[in-house]
Amino acid sequence: MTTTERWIALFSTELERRDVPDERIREEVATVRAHVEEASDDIDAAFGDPIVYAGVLAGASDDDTPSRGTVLSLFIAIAFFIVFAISVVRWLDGDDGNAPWAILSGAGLLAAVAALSVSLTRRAVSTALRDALSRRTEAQWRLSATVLLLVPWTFIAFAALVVAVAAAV
Amino acid sequence: MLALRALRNGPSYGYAIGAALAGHGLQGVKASTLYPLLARQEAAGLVTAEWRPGGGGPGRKYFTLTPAGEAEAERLIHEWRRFVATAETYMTDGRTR
Repeated sequence: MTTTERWIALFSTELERRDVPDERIREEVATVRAHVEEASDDIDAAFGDPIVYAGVLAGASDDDTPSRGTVLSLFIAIAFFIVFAISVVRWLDGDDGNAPWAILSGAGLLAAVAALSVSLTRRAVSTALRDALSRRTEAQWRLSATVLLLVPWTFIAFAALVVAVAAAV
Repeated sequence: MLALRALRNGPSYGYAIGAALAGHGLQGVKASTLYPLLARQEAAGLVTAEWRPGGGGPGRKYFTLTPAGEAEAERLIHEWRRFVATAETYMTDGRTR
């Protein structure tokens, strides 16, 4: 991979990570390519660091701020978890009227956790691509990706624990 | 201000604007400064942008001053001249008026 192509790969990955629309990314990449070709400039000298330049264009410095989707999924998962825990305990205590609530909230909890996983995975993969292209260590990516993927499923583990405890009592 | 001034000569694109400024002794305007500036001016409605095919190479994004951009350029140039005149007076007389 040439220096220019590597720079552009980092640049477009960072724009994507910052939720810049695809059309705008294509346009910004085309602008960079056109400039470098005409100016015969070194891309680093003309545009500087690709991550920093992408940040300037994206007009934000929210590098580590979770996306709205991630935050929303987290709150929905917490809400479904609470409803599930209450209704499943009552159901197991013999109140069959809570069965639909337990089933519905259980399904909702699964969906919310899956959405949270997808959201975090997208972010992790995007970051990993950037790190890989920056030649950071693969071990760092594997560890962080594994932790990120496991975190949402702790909801399911706790839900199972609630069911187990309620069934045992 | 300089980018808007450059566009008063007609539609142009990033590299050409930088080259025009350099041709007038204003070197050092980096692409990483110029393009985000033009993007902000586009968002502010001071310029419009359109892609035109390049001569065998990649297309070029041409910028054109809008009437609002023309007025803003005029205002900024007026402000600049006033600043330079004030600074010049201070440099000469050693005091402000």
